[in-house]
Amino acid sequence: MGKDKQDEKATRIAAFEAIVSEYEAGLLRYAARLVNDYNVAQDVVQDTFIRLFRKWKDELEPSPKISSWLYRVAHNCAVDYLRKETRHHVLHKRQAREKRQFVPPDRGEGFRISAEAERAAAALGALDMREKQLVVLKVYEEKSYREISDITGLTVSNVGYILHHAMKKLAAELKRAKAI
Amino acid sequence: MNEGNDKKKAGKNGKMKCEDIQAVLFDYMTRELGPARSDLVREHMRKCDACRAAAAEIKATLDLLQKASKSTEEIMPSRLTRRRRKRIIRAMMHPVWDWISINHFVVSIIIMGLVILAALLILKKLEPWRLGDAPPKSVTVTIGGGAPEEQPKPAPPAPPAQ
Repeated sequence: MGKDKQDEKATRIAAFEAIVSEYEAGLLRYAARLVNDYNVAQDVVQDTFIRLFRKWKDELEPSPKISSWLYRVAHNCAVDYLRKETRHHVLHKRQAREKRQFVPPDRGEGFRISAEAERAAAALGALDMREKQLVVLKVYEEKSYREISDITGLTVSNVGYILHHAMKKLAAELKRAKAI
Repeated sequence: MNEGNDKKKAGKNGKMKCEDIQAVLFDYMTRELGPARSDLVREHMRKCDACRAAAAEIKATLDLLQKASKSTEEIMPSRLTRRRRKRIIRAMMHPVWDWISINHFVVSIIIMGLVILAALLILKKLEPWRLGDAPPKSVTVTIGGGAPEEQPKPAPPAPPAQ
């Protein structure tokens, strides 16, 4: 009896390790880009995995189904955090301020890409949460429209429509900031 | 994207309008458009300056985002911290203990309430303010009304019998 319990425990921990190793990097990147804070991203991913182990009834092994579920829950957790800490409003205000005052810093050639990252982050701040989510999934995480549809629950054509408008908005923002 | 819509969008003569083309430029660049529609977009762009300009704008935006993605990937955390991993394992293995540690404030208030309730019940049962079961002696108290009444002196002890 005791041995059975220990075996079960060991199996669950092994399943946990496999799932976490497979998805933690992608989820951390995704959450960090949604909330703009690495520490909060860690909390978001931690809560996502806890929800997975509490609610997932099927076999715990890496699969597209689990992947979509994790990204969906990570998004919900990120939105919860933003709401709870009223960061959403503050963040948008701060980013809007940064956007208006943005002057590319002169850091030499070696920092060229970092400056681009800053411009991109500032431009992403102009998008609403749904648009930002789709851009991060498509451009940064390189998910297909089908995968994005599974994660968000939107139809494939709706994903394309929202992304088209998000990209137009981003292009306008970057043009205004003389980044492109 | 849905290949079935291709012919519908392409119109009778197989041509797409500029607004239709520009609506699918991002899909085209990220290879989400079917081959038939991609050919139409390519064909249209060869002749249309406005759509080429719109495509160049989206391409520049996409390039900047992709470069930004690569540059930030190195500084992004790629693993959960040890503390958070421990927390997940605890939540898996000891859900009750995990719940208590998250809601420790609520739990401590509940425990404090229970302790107070238990103390009140014990006090009610023992009634320490009642010193004994004997009825209290009657005491006469006179408030005001002149000098106190003289108490009868106790009789002197009888002389011992001779």
